Amino acid sequence: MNRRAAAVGIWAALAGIAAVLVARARYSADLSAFLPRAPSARQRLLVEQLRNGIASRLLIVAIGGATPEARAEISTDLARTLRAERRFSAVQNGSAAAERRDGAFLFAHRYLLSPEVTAQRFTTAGLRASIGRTLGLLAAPGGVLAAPSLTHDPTGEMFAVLGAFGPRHAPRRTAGVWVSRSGREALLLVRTRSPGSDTDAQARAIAAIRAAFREAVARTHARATLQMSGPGVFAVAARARITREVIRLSLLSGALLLVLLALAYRSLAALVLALVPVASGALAGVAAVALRFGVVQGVTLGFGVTLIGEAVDYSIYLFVQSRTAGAAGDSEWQRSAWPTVRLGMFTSVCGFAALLPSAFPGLAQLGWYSLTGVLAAGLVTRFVLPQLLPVSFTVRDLRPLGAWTARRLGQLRAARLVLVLVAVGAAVVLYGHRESLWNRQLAALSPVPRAAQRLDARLRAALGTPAGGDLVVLSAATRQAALEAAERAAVPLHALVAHGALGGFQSPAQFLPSRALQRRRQQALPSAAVLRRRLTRALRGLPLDPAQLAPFVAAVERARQAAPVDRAALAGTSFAAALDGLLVRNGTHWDALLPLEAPADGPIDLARVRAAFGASPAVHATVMDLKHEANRLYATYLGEAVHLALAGLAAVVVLLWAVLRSALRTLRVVLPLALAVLTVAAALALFGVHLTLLHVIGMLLIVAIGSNYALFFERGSAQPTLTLASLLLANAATVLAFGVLACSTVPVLRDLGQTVAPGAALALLYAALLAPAAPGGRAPG
Amino acid sequence: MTSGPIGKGTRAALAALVLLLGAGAARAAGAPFTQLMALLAARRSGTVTFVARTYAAGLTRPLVSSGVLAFRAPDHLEQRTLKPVPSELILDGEHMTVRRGGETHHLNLRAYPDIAVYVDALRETLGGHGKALRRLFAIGWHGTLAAWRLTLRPIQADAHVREIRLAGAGANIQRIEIRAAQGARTVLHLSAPTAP
Repeated sequence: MNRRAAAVGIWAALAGIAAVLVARARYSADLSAFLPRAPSARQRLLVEQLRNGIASRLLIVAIGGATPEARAEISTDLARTLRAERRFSAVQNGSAAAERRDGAFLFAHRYLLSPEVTAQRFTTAGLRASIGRTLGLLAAPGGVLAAPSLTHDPTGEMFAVLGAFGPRHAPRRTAGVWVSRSGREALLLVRTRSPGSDTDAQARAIAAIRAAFREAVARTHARATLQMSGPGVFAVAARARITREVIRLSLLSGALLLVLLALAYRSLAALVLALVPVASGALAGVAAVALRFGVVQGVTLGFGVTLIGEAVDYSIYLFVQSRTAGAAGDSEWQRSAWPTVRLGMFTSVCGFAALLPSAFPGLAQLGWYSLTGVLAAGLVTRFVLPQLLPVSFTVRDLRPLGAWTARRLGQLRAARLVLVLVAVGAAVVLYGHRESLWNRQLAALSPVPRAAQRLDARLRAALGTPAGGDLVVLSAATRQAALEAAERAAVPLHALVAHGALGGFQSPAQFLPSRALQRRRQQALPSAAVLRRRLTRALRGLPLDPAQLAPFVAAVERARQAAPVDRAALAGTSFAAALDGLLVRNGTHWDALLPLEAPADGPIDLARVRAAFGASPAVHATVMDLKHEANRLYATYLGEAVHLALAGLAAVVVLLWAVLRSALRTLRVVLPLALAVLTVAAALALFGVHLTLLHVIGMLLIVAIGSNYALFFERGSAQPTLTLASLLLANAATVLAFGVLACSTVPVLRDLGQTVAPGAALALLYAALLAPAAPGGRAPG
Repeated sequence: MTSGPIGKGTRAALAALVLLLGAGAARAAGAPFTQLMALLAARRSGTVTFVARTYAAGLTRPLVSSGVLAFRAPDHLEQRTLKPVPSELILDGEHMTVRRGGETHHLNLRAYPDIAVYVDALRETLGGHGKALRRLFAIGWHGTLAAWRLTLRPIQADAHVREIRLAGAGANIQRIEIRAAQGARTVLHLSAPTAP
C-alpha cells in the first residue's frame, strides 16, 4: 500500500513540476519550424537571408476597387502616413516626388557616382567625345527632356549613372503611381525595419497599414479594397492559421475520442481515468520540449494530437483487457499483457528517437515530445492508473465485439493470399510513379495557401521584385572592403551583361561607391581653370558655347572638393533601404549582396557566372540561387528524413529481435507493418500526392504505432477476444486522431495525418491476417 | 526618357510662366476641334518625313535631325531618326521598343511617364481621339480647321513635358513642338503625308 501511495505521490509531484514548466514555457508559431538548421556557412547565409534579409522585410500593398484616380489618391495618402511611421524604413509608390528625390541625389553626386569618370574623359579629346555623344542623345526622340540640364551636365554623366543601373524593369504607372499589369490596382512597396522572422513586429506593421488604409479610404470616400503580400504577411497568416488549427484539431480529436471511449466503456469514471495517461504524457512532452529546446513550436502541439492517439491505447489495453479494478490491480494483466505493451512502447520510443537528430527543429521537437510523452503515458498506465481506480470500477465487456471481429477476420484469413497481390500491386504502382514520387520543393512544406502564393507572384512580377533569385555574395572584414569587393566583382559581371549572359545586376556600390573609388574619381577631375581651357578647345566646331558651361565647371569643381558620399547622404532616397539590404553586417564581417537579373531569353547560367569569377581570382565570391539553394537544402533533409526513418525502422527491428530472440518471429511482426507502409505509399502515389518529408515521418510512425498491434498478435494473449477488442478500440482511437489531422489545411499536419491514419488501420488488419493462427486460437506465448 | 532634375526655384518660375502664357491663349476646345478629330480619325495611317530642331540653353545653334514618322491606327507609332545618329522609338500599344547605338530595349510605355505624355499626345491626336486627349491634357484651340494650332498641357502635375503644340491644315499635321523645362524644346516640321 505504501508503494502504491508513493507511486501516486511521485506522479503528482512530477505532474506539478511539468505543469509549472509548461506554464512558463515560451511558445512560438512562426515559420522557423519549417526552416532547417543549416550546417554550412553558405546555407547559414541562405537561412539568414530567408529569415532576416531584405526580402523578408518587404510588404507589397495592392489597392483595388474604386477609380484609378481614387486609387492613386489613396496610394499617395497611404504612402505619406506610412513614411511618418518609424517602423517602416521605406515606402515607395512610384510617385514623382520620390523619383525626383532619387534623381536629385544622383544628379548632385553624379561625378562621384558615374562609372565613366576617369582622367581620360576629362581630357580635351575625352570631353569632345562625351559632349558629342550627349548632343546625339538630345537629338534622338524624347531627348529634349534631358536638354534643360545640358549646361550642367554636357558630358552626360547622368546618363552614365542611370545606365549603370541597367535597363530598369520599372513598374507601370497610372495617374502618377505604380499599378499592377492590368492597371486595376495601385501598388506600394513597403519595407519594415524589423526582420520578417519577427512575427509580432510584422503583425503590428500589417495592422498599421490596415489602419492607415482605412483612414485614407475614409478621407476619399472611395470604395477601395486592400490586399497585402510578402513574407511578413505569410508569417502572420500562417501563425494565426497554425494556432487556430492546433486548437481546433486538438478539441475535435479530443471530443471524438471521448465519444468513442464513452460508447466503448459506458462508464464516466473510465472515461475520466482514460485521460490520465494522455494528459500526463502531453504534460511531460511539452515540459520536456521546453526544457530541451527553450521554445515550443506551435506545430509541435499540433503534432501532439498524434500522441493522444498513441497514449490513449495504453489505458484502453488496461481497461478493456482487465475490465475491473480488481483485475487491473492484480498482477494478472501486468504479468500477461504489460510486457507486450511495454515492448510496443519501446518500439514506439525507438521510432520517435530516430527523429531527434533531424535538422528540422519541428521534427526534432516532434520526436522528443512524442518520445517523452509515450514513456510518461506508458509508465503512468502501469504504475499510477491502477492505483487510481475506484473499487467499484468496471467497464463494459467488449468480448462480443472481439468475438465478432474474430469471426470476420477468420473469414478474411481465407483470402490472405490476396495480400501477395496487394504487395505486388503496390510495388508496381510505386515503380510506375518513381519519377514523380517525391516533392522536392521546400515550398511543399509551406503553410502559405496557393491563392496567396499566386497573388504574391502576380504582384512581384508587376513590381519587378523577384522573391528569391540569384545572388553573388562577397564577404569582407569592413564595410569599405565589402564595397571594394563589390566594385571588383562588377568587372566580370559587366562582361557577362555585355555577352548577354546576364540581364543586369544590382550592387551596393552603385548607390555608395567605396571611399577609395570616390577619391580616385575626384582625382580624375581637372581644376576649373584647366577644365575651362580644355572645353574651349574641345568645343571647336560643336554647337555648344563654352561660355555657357559655367554651371558644369562649377559642378566639377564642387565635386573635386566634396566630402565623399556616405550612408547619411542617401537619407530620404529609395537607395537608402536598397543599400541596407545589399550591404549587411553579419556578425564580425560585412556581406555585399549582388542580386542578378536573368537575360531576356532565359534563366541565368550560374555555372557561367561562377566560371567568370573563377577567372578573376581577385574576387572571392559565392554565387548562389536562393530558391535552388533552399530546395537543395530541403532535398538534403528529405534524404536525411528517409535515412532517419530507415534508422528508426532498423532500431525497431533490432529491439524486437533482441526481445523475441527469433528472426522468424521478428519478421512476423515487421512484415504486416512493411506491407502497410507499402500500401499507403502506393495509394498516395495513385491519388497524385507527391511525397514530402512529413509523409516519410508518417511511415515511420506507422511502424512505431503498428508494432504494438503486431506484437499482440505475435505474442498471443490469455484473453484473445478481449485483446482483439482492445486492439480494435485502440486502433480506432489512433485512426481518429490522425484522421482529424489529415483534414488540416496546414500541409505538414495534413501530410502526416493522411499517411498515418490509413497506415495504422492497415497495420492492424495486416497483422491480424498474417498472425500465425486465427486470433483467439493461440495459447499465451 | 531620362532627365536631370531642375532646381525648385526654376521649376516654380517656369510653372508660373506657363500659367501666364496659358491664361491668354487657352480657349475651350469646341466644335472645330471636334471636326478636326473626325477628320484625323478618318485617316487610318500615314507616313511622313520630318526635320527636327532641338533648342536648349547653351546651344549656339539648334541640333538638327531628320527621319520618318509613321502612324497606323489604332496604336502603332514609330519615330525613326536617320540622321545624324540613327535611333528608333517604336510603339505598339503599350509595348515600346527603343533602338540606339546597336542596342535594343523592349520596355513598357507606362513605366516611362514622360515618354508616355509625348506618345499619348501624338497617338491620340493622329487617331482623332478627342475624348482621350481631353482626359490627359488641357487643350487650347487656335485658328480654323484650315489652319489650326493645338496646345496640349499635361493635366498630370510634375510631367517633364510641359506642353506639346501641334499645327496643321485640315487632316495634315505640319508642325509638332515638344516643350520641356527652361525653354528646351524640339520642333518637328513634317512633310506632306505619303501613302504608307
